[in-house]
Amino acid sequence: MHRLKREHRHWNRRMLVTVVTAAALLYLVGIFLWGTLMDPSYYAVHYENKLLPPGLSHLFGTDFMGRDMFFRCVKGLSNSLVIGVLAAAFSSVLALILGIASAVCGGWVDRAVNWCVDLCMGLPHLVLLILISFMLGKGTKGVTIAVALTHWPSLTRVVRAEVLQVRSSQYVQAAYRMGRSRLQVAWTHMVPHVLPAYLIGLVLLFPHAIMHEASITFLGFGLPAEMPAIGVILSEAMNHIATGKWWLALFPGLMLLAAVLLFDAIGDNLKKLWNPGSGNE
Amino acid sequence: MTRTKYLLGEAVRMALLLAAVSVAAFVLITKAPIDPLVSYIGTNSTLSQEAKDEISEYWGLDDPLPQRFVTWAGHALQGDLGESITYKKPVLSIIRERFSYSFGLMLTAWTLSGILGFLVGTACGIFQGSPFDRAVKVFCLGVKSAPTFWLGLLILTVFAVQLGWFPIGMAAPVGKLASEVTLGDRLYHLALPAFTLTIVSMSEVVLYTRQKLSEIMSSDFILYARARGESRGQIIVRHALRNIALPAVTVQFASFSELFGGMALAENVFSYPGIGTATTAAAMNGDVPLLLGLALCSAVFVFAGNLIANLLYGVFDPRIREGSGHA
Amino acid sequence: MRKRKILAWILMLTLASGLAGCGSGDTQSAAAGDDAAAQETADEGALSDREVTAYVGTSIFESSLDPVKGAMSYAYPFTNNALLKVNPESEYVGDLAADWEISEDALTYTFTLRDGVKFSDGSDFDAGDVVFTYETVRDHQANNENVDLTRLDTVTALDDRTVEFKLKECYSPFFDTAAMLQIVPEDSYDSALFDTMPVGTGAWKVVQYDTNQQIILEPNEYYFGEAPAISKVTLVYMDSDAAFAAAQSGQLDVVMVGSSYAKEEVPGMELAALETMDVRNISLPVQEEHTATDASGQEMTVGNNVTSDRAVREALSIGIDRQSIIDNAFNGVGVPAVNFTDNLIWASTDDYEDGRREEAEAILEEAGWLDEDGDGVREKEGLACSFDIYSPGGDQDRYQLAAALAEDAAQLGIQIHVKTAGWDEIVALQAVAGVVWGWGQYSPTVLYSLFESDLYLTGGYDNVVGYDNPQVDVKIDEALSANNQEDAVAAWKEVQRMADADYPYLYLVNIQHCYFVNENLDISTETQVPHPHGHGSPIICNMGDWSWK
Repeated sequence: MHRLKREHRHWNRRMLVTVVTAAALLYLVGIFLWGTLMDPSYYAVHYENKLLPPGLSHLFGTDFMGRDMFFRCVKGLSNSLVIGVLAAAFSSVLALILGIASAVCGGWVDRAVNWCVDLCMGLPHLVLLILISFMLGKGTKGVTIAVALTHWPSLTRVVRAEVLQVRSSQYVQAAYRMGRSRLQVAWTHMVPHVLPAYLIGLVLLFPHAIMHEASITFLGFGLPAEMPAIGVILSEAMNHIATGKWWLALFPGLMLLAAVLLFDAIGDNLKKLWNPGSGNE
Repeated sequence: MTRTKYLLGEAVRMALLLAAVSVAAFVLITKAPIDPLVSYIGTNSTLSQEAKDEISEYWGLDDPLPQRFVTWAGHALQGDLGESITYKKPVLSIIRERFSYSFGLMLTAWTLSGILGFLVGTACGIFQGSPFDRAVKVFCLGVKSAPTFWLGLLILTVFAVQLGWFPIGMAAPVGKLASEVTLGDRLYHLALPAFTLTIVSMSEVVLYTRQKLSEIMSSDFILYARARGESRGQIIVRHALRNIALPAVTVQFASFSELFGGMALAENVFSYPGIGTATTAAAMNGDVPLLLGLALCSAVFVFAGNLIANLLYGVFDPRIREGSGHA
Repeated sequence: MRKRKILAWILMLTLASGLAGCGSGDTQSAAAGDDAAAQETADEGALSDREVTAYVGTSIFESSLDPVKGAMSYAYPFTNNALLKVNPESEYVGDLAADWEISEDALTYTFTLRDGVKFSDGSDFDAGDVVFTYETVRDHQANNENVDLTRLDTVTALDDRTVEFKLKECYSPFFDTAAMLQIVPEDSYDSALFDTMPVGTGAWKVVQYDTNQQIILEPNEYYFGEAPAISKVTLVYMDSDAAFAAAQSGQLDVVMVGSSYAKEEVPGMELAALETMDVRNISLPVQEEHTATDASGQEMTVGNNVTSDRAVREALSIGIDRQSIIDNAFNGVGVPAVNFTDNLIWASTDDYEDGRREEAEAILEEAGWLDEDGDGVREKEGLACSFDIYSPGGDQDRYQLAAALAEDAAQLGIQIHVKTAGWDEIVALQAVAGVVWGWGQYSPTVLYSLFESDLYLTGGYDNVVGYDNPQVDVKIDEALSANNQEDAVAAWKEVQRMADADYPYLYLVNIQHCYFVNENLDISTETQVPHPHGHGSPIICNMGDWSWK
């Protein structure tokens, strides 16, 4: 996009970004609500319809128990979203606290937090997830906690850098001199300042969390088989790939991909709305 | 801070980190709700009571946790990681064997994704805004957002099941004696997992190179070079590429962690007998000695990548000499 | 006198398995060829025949191959031989034993050994090896959970060809033991080596063992029987879906498949669904929910308030339609079963019809289970007629079976939640919820482990439902200590008759093992024994009889 053109259409672009963000949000919330409120009979077992290819009556086909793959995917994605969003939210709060503490307190707190970040990144993320899930005896609890406990390091760094920026600013220094405690300063000045970066980071964290949940579920350390989730559906599909049942693998993955891309789009658009200068890429 | 001092400090810091990571991994694994003895001999053990006592004694299974770690680390430093329950062989020999497979896979994917990614990224940077650039960008964003195992599944479906061009799994033809397997067999079985992993790792490099190139191309010193009358080609080769090649290599080294994760998933999809499949098997079967060994191995692997990246960073970033080492 | 007893038993075995005839001595009388001749045939075979590559599941890779540690005790040994073996009619015939006698008091068993038998390392087999094997297992009983020799008093070599066993007390399943425990050579036995490369008298020897990759077998040139027609067999380890794909690309000659693949077509291969004695049943806790202490002193909640009602268990057993469950879950592969299979001599042959839904509903209503709120699930005093069934994670077939059962049971107003869990978790859940089990073995001692009240909460998979019936316990004792097989079998049948009346286990299906077999390979279906439990491995029971067409 040429620079001139962009500035010319600045307002239009802003509106477009808002619309896209709203649409993406609507889709994700829609999937979440639809899946949560869905009557289980939509994806119930119908043995007479085993392994039907995609068609008008079953958009995404059916699986080896005759369950409608479209509704099962919606339900599964909704389950994945819940776990991903919960875990990412927890991780982000952890990141916010650690990041601010690290920047505000400095000294050994800063070193300790940095050390923890490095420690957490010292193992491949997937291995760390497997180890935590293993420690908690696998299952839903294992995967949720594992995802929640491993997504804070990068966001912590972002928050810390943001806080470091304001820490030396005059109004923060002034606040200190006026006798405000560290906690007060952190709450009244730093949190509002890092909030935009934090929220963007949080939104960008969701897709990671969801993807990691699906990955370790696929490997067998996550959600149990009776719970429709994208990872479960895809690992079941593994058994039928050799017999050419491609639709079992294609559509659930596409839905997950769409969700991930939309979260990314929302994150990027928020970035542009808050900080229009960053949109020149 | 002198450069040597920085490099030395960095190496020491990272070695300490590695030690800490292994403590953390040890705590995680041994805190699992499995009886410590069972975790060393498996649920179907046919060992006699004396043999069980011996194992318990050797690994200090009845001791408190810190002492157990010291015992384990002591044995580990002497190269004894214990015996795997799943494979009934010493953990070290399993890691050695499995790593030789995974190493080939990762090296292929890592090199290919680095070279291809750099070339494609450069091309995108040069022809920014062209249909080629846009197509590549969409593709890379798509791949980056897609779960690795799902891409693997699709590639498996298309190339192995539908087209039948490649084998569906394993690292060697079925039923061939180990001594009869040729390099050709190995490469043939390596192709699909390596392809998957290359595609997955490539997108990051492409996007990185593309962005850096565009940043540099719009920088002041390029403007100056242009003003001097240098041609576009000259500018790119003399100034731009030279400036982004090393950071790109550094980034590539720092990506060992993601590479490892991608490899584990790809191996599971293609039943490739490497470190990744061994890790999932070990965690599935509660094979604690093997899981510990593999966690340590993966930590060393990531550690090596980060160390190289940080050293490169220290060597080539002039600002380091001025003492602004990053955290 | 004693001879006649054995004959009578063999006759009974034969009749019970539904096949007339008493020619069980044929294989024993076959004279063993001399070494040179045996070697010659083996060499000839190696030149003229193609190799076989087979995938028979992964369980064969998951345990030791050493008979002393319980390997291959389920009737498909290939490297070693036991004193006895089962034939396709489920009768015991001699293998390393040529003849045997049992004393009047059933405390002394005397086996006369076959002549001219050699181990695969060329050394001679004699009575000393039998004594060594049995003594080693007895002295290290903890290492072998499949062969129970705790009641063996002494084992003595009377001479090179005769072995005498003395029991401490009557133990009727000892005869099963003689068919389960294969003999290892006294001179070259090495506990570590035998895990992967056992030396034995069997038709095959392991020439290469790659852990969790492949086991390569070649004929044992010293084998006393007919030399195999196949020169090399490779058993491969892989995921079942990869195995199916490998078969499709023509890389495998025999491939075990789950029933979900049974409707598929593989070019150049034919589907073989082989008879098994393997049943799938679901344990239904019979005790009401309460707190109990297990054998290790740990306090835990046990029992289930829904399945503890006999009416619920009976309604399920007679009301569900097993054939439709099998059609739905297994693509129709498998035979409906209401108890153990008729190809076992001791198994109950009592049969009843299922799918009697009205009768089942009447039983439930009479017991107070009514659907008053109209949600399709019955209740009784505020308690919904609903319980959990666990299927071991990773076993797709069992999961589908349980899911199909849940669908069927829903029509009776009984709600079943099917869940998956690892075996380590199931151990903790089996006392409070249903679990899908697989049973299939020659020895009737399984009945002891299913119903003996003393075994409740002792760990393992014994009596998980908490069955407690003093009369059944008495009958089990009677069967175990019977001094002749007729009485033992009669007592075992009585055990089942009494216990089955309480429906503690919901039997569903006698599974069939499905394989795709190269259409040019003859796996000799007529000499296959009914497959015991073994996730597909038992097809190798007669590998020596396989040939290329």
